[in-house]
Amino acid sequence: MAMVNEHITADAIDASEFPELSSKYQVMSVPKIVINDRVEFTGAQPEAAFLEAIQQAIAPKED
Amino acid sequence: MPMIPERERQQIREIFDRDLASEVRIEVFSKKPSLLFVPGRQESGSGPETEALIRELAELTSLLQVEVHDIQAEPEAAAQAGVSQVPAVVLHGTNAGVVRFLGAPSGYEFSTLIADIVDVSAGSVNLADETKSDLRAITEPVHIQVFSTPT
Repeated sequence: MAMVNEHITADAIDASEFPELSSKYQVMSVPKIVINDRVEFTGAQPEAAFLEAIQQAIAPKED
Repeated sequence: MPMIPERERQQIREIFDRDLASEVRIEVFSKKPSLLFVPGRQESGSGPETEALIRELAELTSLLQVEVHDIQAEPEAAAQAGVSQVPAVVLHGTNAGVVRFLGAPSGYEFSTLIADIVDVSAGSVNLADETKSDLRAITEPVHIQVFSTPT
């Protein structure tokens, strides 16, 4: 997805080498995907679900 | 001693010959192992190994350019890439956005790395047209972090 838009950064992170990040996001099973520190899910998702997760992650916060 | 077994090198060479279309610049962020042990400081031992691995990949094709940065000697380069820990690998090809591997790309991550090198070289995007156009409309920063573990 990072191919398509310059605002997107995609990181593939080795959870065992970054224990602080893994515990920050409570990575217990993989793959775990975190978007903008706001939306998380585990396991491979269909493309449409992934896109929706991105859109949720960038949606204005509701108070 | 090479890190990639000969048979796998041959397979990767064939993939690169067949699928790479344009040059890919790969930045590797590493750190010279310190001689001093500092309690509490995280020492990632896989920095030099990741550097060696990427250099071996670059030997298999003329389309890969490798730049190695020492995160301590070149803090500006690291800051520009948004890298604070090593090892880190950043791919620069036809990708509009940023593609990075944080931690050594071993196990399953290694085949993901090969696939990503091909994708950023060939400009291939396996997404539906509607997904692509929805993605292109995004103007806010999106940071996708995918956590996996080496198998």
